[in-house]
Amino acid sequence: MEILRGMFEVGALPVVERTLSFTEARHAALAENVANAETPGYLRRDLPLDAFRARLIEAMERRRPGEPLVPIDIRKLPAPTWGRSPDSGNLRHDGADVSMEAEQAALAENALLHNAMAALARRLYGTIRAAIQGRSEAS
Amino acid sequence: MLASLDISASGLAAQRTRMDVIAQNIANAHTTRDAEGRPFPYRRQEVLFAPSSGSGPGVSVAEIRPDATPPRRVWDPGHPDAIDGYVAYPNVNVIQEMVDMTLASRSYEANVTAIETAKSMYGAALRILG
Amino acid sequence: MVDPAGMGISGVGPVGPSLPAQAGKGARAGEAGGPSFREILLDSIREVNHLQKEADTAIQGLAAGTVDDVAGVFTAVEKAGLAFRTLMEVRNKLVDAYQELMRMRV
Repeated sequence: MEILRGMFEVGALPVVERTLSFTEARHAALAENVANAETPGYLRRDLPLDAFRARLIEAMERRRPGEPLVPIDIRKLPAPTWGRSPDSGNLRHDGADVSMEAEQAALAENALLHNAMAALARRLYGTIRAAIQGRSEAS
Repeated sequence: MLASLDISASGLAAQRTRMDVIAQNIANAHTTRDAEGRPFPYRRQEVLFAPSSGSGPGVSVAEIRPDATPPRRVWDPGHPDAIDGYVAYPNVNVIQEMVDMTLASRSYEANVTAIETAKSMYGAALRILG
Repeated sequence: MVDPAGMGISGVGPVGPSLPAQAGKGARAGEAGGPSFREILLDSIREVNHLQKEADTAIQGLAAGTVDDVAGVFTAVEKAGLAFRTLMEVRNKLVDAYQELMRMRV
């Protein structure tokens, strides 16, 4: 049904959805870093936010009116270049390179973005629901 | 999203095991005889973490192994467990164990924070349903 | 939109700061040659559309990181939401009024 595509593929909704997929995936990577902070030889993993945003902006610019937003393959994002423990290498005898502070900060920042996007998604879907129901507020 | 809860839970379990081992080390810091009552000092135990194998990402305790450092020998001929005048005390440094306990506790809390964050994110997504 | 019973459109009730004034204008539309109620309605729809586009742009900016002002984004979203709700309320009241009119035995 064309009418459905028109509702869900235009505007901010697909952008919000892509961002939510990203923040969920990133949380898993960061949680793994926290769990493995003292595992010998473990190198931290991340899905860098700036790389994702670059892809997002690219996808938005390529989108023509009426066309859907292209999907973003999260697994293809480049490896992180920050967040490593400053004393990894010589000082950490176990070879793990996780900086707990960096991971905590990243977790918090990621959660804030996720929650903001989820709240906005709720609003956007609510408006669609209200319009469908012919009411001023979705029930 | 829910898989990340498993990851953090594995971190909790691993740190918990580590804390148990540290507690055992501290409790036995002056144990100079073994379970059969023979003069043999307690050996410090340490945990070795490894990334989880098999059931998804996370961390697990690969090994709980004895510390190879030799025991402390103290000259005390009157001690019941003295051998040739020396008593062999466990290779446990209580200060080091306390520091380790603090680090383990900090890691434990970090995994708790990760779980709380996941719960908050999941709740926000759930509210999309209105 | 004509006003055959001469009731005046003020039956719609207060739904926003500017609408009663516009409703009053609409009641005189047929007489004075001012903007018709249809035009006022279309204007409101255009305004809602415009605010929703602005909100969409703000949301996309937040996701892309080009917009830093979270409060600004939420304000834009809220404005668009209120404008939409106002429009729906007006539309529903109009439909109700029309249906009531149709039920009248004249």
